[in-house]
Formats: sequence, structure tokens, C-alpha cells
Amino acid sequence: MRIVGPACITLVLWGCGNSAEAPLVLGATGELPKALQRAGDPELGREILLNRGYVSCGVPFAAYQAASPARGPDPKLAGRLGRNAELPYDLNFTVDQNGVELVVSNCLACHGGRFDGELVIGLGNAFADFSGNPVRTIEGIGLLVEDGAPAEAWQRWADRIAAIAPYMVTDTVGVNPAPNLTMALMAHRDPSSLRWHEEPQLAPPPTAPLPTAVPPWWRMQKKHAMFYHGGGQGDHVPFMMLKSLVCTDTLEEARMIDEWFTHVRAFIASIEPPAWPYAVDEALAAEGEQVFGRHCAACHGSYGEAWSYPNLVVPLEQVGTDPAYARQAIEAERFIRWFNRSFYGRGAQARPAPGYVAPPLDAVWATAPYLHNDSVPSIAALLDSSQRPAYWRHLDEPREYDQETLGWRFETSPHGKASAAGPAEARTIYDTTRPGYGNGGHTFGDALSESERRAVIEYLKTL
Amino acid sequence: MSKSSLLALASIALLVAVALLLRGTGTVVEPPPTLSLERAADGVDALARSFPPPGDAPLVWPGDHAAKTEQFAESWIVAGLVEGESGERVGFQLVFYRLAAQPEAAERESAWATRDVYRARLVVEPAGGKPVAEERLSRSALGLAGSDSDPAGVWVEDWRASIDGDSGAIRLSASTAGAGLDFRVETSGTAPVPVDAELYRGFWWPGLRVTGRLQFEGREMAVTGHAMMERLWGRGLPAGRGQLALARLWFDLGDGAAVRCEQLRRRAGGGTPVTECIAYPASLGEGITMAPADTSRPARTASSYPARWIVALPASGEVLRIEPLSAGPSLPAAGAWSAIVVADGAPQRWGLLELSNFAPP
Repeated sequence: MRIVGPACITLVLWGCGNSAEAPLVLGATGELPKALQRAGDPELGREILLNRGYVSCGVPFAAYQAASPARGPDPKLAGRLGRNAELPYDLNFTVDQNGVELVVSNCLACHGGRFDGELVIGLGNAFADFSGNPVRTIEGIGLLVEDGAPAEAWQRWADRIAAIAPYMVTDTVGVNPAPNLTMALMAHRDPSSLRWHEEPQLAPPPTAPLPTAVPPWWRMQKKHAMFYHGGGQGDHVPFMMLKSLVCTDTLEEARMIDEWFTHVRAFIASIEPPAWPYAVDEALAAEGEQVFGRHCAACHGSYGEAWSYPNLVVPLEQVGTDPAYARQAIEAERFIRWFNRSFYGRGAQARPAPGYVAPPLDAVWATAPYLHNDSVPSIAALLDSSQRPAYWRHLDEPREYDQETLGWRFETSPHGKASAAGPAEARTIYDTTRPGYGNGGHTFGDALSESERRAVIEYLKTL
Repeated sequence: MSKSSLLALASIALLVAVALLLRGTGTVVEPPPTLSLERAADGVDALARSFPPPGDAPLVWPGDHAAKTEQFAESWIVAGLVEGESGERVGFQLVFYRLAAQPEAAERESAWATRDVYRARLVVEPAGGKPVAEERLSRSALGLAGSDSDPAGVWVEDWRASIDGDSGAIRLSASTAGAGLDFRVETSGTAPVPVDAELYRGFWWPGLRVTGRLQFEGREMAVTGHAMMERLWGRGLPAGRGQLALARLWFDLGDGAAVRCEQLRRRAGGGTPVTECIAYPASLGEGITMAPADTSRPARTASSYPARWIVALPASGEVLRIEPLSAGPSLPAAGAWSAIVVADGAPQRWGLLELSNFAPP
């Protein structure tokens, strides 16, 4: 199950049943139930997100400095306090219980994307590279770690990452493995005490993560549930703090992070979508709004001051997009049960449904590539399935945004991964013939005329 | 950060130990505690960064044997296994390091003033016998040590490795109490293999031939045999540091095949060892694993090392059990240990094993 919305990390559910337990309650397609969220302070939430150690293990600060003497805060983010201000935006500073200063990951490695060179908090990072095994790097950092408490801190972190590394290596640059690595973390933890076990206590997930896109945080203003299959129901905070599963070994620490993330959730829900930064053909956009209203709004909602959003999970057979992700989620019974009986499941329920949520489309132009698996590089191709490339890769030197198609510059590849010159080329190719990477379905735009599609694209720029 | 760059960062530890030795009596000492080492390393790291990176110019031979004094550090390693007329098998290592102690040439009036320090190690290792070893440390002042470009060569006092400009052969000459060698090392058809990391580069040249004379146990004998050399330069040289030990293995498999592996592994045990190999031919280097043969007895002191290893070569389907050629302890040198090793059951196959920073925390 892919957690949609503000997930710092995601939950995917996979597995077989246990007949001795009560029947599992899965989600249903159709309208998602609304859940009251705990109140928080958005300003404090931003401060926590950008400055605190909710991932409580990491690299000793001295070793980080030795390894990365030239990597500074680029870009500078307002509100970075103390030593956080010296670090890149996707790393936080904290001090562990032994007094060791640590550099730890934060949410922005996945949930901080750049648009035209500017960092946008909450925009999914469609260019992050999870295709390399991190073990060499994390082990290698040990070269720079002193004996004693720093060594203990490094070893704890390195062992955790090594435990989940087999489940987080994607075969394509840009897609995200968070659901799979979250399942791997669950497999190593006791759901009640959160105690870490070196050996997995549940059958781990498959080692080949399904590809997922990182959804923009601003959608959480409207969404009742998290994740593409709508399975993150009830209190959103526990889902949002799942990234802390890497290092949080005690209920005491989990309670503290839960309190922090009450405010982080409020911050995430307060994020406004960015405005289209270029010119808009207002007349064409107005035509597009009419087309959108007739063909799209029933699922994706309406916009403007009197906006509406139906919070619908569309059945797999109706939307037709690659079903692997949703199917994996609903079959992952052992992880559903783990979550629901754990600390995290007190006010939240994992209930994936056999379908995909039709997301709100605020600032959808910024969120390329499209669909839950990032399989379609532009809105133009999404609206005309004949234009979807079977094999393609982003062109990142330089990274350029195409204002006509609403996607990042890409090129088609004449072949898939199997015919690539080597692993280095293969990992850059998005190969839609691979399991979970399919680009089919959501063919509703095919019924539109070319001029209608152009009008809808122009309208989407205004959202 | 790439594994290669991490290795390169680690490499400075070895050179820090050299710098510490310079402040002492000139005799070999055990490495200082890690914390002290790290603090010393901070200064050496900064000094190393003040030197240029190793660059990416095409490698040339014999030109790249020559001194590269614009670099922070460089090394010349020659090691081999020779056989006397009576069948005695003896391993040898003759190794030179240069380290810049300051960015610019020394401007003091003292004749002892120097920018560069040199360290050299001579080891003669008889099969089944006790090795003879000596390490020297000197400075590039008053002709005590140095390196040349034309013809290429490096020396520390009367120990010398020099290139015959016409033939490209290497002349080795060194002696200590109880042992000495005067060798000519030549190519035998193999090509040098580039070694490339972020902070250092150079080449490894396996499959060399050795002829010459060896003095050992009061005798002098004519010998022939095999050798390999490695030449590196850059902002650092490979060595274990911090929480990681580094094992380096160069191994001659015979018939022109050879492998060169580097493995980082935790001093405290656990974790995932990181192994990177190159080979001649290249396909032989795929998927090689190596591990101490007896993991139940980790090193207990700074001068105790896992000398026996198991090396698996999936490309050839072989599993080698390697062990030191000599029976006695070799020279622990500034936190490192090295020995000529042979494969169990195939004594003609030989290699050089170098271990650094293996002492447990």
C-alpha cells in the first residue's frame, strides 16, 4: 500500500493470511471516510520538520564533516536552526542519548523537489536515485568515525540501513521504494514494544520494490486518507511518522515523535500549492475548465473558491492503471495486521482498497511524471495514451520543464532495460514493460479532441 | 561518497602514522589511539587537500614510474617470490612511500630542512622460516632520501628502486642485517592495470619476472622468480582508519592471471565487508569474496592480524586458502602488516597481503 500525501515514508502491505486471527478489514472503493485530525501548530510543525531528530540515528557529525567538507546548505532554507543551518536541506542535526552529535535524514530527500531550480517543500522528488545499494557508502563512513560512543552510534545506524537495503534498491532512477522499505522495517520490529530484532520476525517483502511516485504534500488539505490506494485511514499522524521506524526502538521515543508530528501534520496540511510561474492563455484555460468539468471533475473535483473534492477510490478495473501496487497492498495481510496492532495503529487504520484514489489536481503541473508509478512523463501523454512512450528517460543535463506538455524534458529509448548497454544505462530507462511499471489505463483523455486536450492542459496550469 | 573515495580518505591514516613517527625517535612504534590519530588526521587531511587531485591524464610507462612531487603522497610497491638454484623459495617486499609534510618547499636555512618524508620497508621471507624485515624513515634533505624523474627512481639511504630508461626494467637494491637483494624486475608480456580512485590513481603491474642475487642466512645465491608492482600517487594512499580495517591482496594465479582486491571490514566485527577487485584478465574480478579463515580469533593487539584468508573467485570457480609463506611474524609497521602469501595446495601461486587497522576497538 502506497501512502499518498504527507508520508515521510510509506506503508505497503503484502503477505499471506493467518486463519487464527479475525478477518481482515480492507478498504472499499468509492468515497473515502473522513476522519477528524488532531489539531497542531503549523509553524511549530515546520520547525520540527526542518530541525529535529525524528529519525534518531545517523552519521556522527564529525565523520559527516570529514566525508563531505564541501557540501553546505544549498539551497538555504529559512527556519533552519543551529547546526541545521550548516547542513544540506535534506539532513537534520540531532544529539543522541550518549551525547553524540548526529546528522540524520529528514523528510525532504523525498518530499523536497525542485521546480525551475527552486526547492519546493512538499513537492515529490522525481529525480532521486535509489538505484544504488547504500551499504558501501554507509560502511565506508566508518573510516571516519572515532572509537567509543560515535562508533556505537554509527554502527547502530549502519546496521539498520543494511537490514533494509536489500528492499530499497530500485531498478530505475526517479522512482521511490519507500513502501517496500517500510514493510522491511515492520518485519524487524515488535509491533507492541517497537523493539528491533536483528532477524526479521515476519516474512520480509520482496527485494524488488514496486515503483512509486512521491505525491505532493499540499494534496493533504483535501484528502481524507493517505496513500494511492486510500489505505491510510483515521489519524494521519502515525502514517506520516513512519520514517522514524528506522531508529525508534522505544514507545517513549515514539510518543515524543507522535507529539511532534501532530504539528508536522498541521504544517503539511497548511501547505499551499505553488502557482504556475509562466503565462497562461486565459481564454483557452476557460475552455479547458468546461471540458474538465464534463470529463474529469467527477473524480478529480472542482477548483476555485467553491471547490469540491469527492475523495474517491476508483476500482482497478475502471481506472485501468498498473494494478500491481494496489494488489500488493491488499494482499499484504501480515503488514496490515502489524500496523493495526502496533503503537501506530491506535488511532489509525491500514485499510488498502482494490483501486486508486483520483487525486486532487492542485498544482498538478508541478508533479510530473504522472500516475502512481511515475510511468507517464507528461500531462499531454496522460491525456493521449497514444503518446505514452514504452521506454523513456529524463534528460537532466540540464533539467528543463516543458510548458506545452507539462512534464520534464525526456527522450524515448529505442529499447528497454534488457537491451541496455549495461547497468548504468539500464537504470536510467523507465521500462513500462516491467512488472509494476506499466503505463496503461486512465485513458479517459483519449475521448477528447486534440483541441480539447490542449484546453484542458491550459486549464490545469491555473490549478 | 563512493567507496573509492572512502578508501582514499582512509588512506591518510597510514601517512599520519608516518608523520607521527617523524616526531619520535625514528624507530617503528605502534599506532597511537584512534582518537589521537583522528585529531592528527584532521591536520593531514587539510594538508592533503591543499595538493592537487591526481588528475586524469593518460597513464604512460615508464614515465609514470617517475617521481610526482607535485602530489601529496605516492608509493612504489614491488613484491615477489623467487627461487634459488637449490630450490629455496623466498618472498620479498621492497616498498617506498613519499609524503609531503608541508605544501611548499622548505625555506629554512638548515640543511636538514625538508618538504618530503620517505618511508621504506624491506622484507625477506623464506618459506617456512623466519622473515627478516626493516623499516626506514628519512627526509629528502642531504640526499638521505628522494625520488628522481630521469631516470625514474626512489631511494631511502642505500635502498633504491630505479628504472632502466632503455628497457623499462626495474632495478631493486636493498640490504639489512641478515638479508639483502639485488634484483632486476622485467615485464613478461602482461600490461599494467590502471588503478583509479577519487583521491589517488596509478597502476598495478602483475606478472613480472625477477632475476638477481639474494643474500640470506649468511649466503648469497642467484635467484629467479616472479613479482608484481604497484605505483600510486594522489592526496592519500589506501589504509584502514577509524572503525574500518583494510585488507589488500594482490595474488598471482599463474598463467598470466592475477587479481588485486581491497576489502574494508569493521574492526569490531559485524557489518557488511565491502570488497572491490580488479583482475587480469578483467573478467576474473567479478564477484570475488574474501574473509579471514578464522573469524573466531580476531586480532587482540595492534600487531596481531588475521594472516590466513579464504578467497573465492566465482569466475574461475576456485576457492583459495591463503597463508603466509614464512612461519614467523613479519614487521608490524605503523598499524599495518604485510606478508608474502601462498595458496594452500598450490605453492606456486603467491601474492602479497597487506592489512591495516585491524586492532579491535
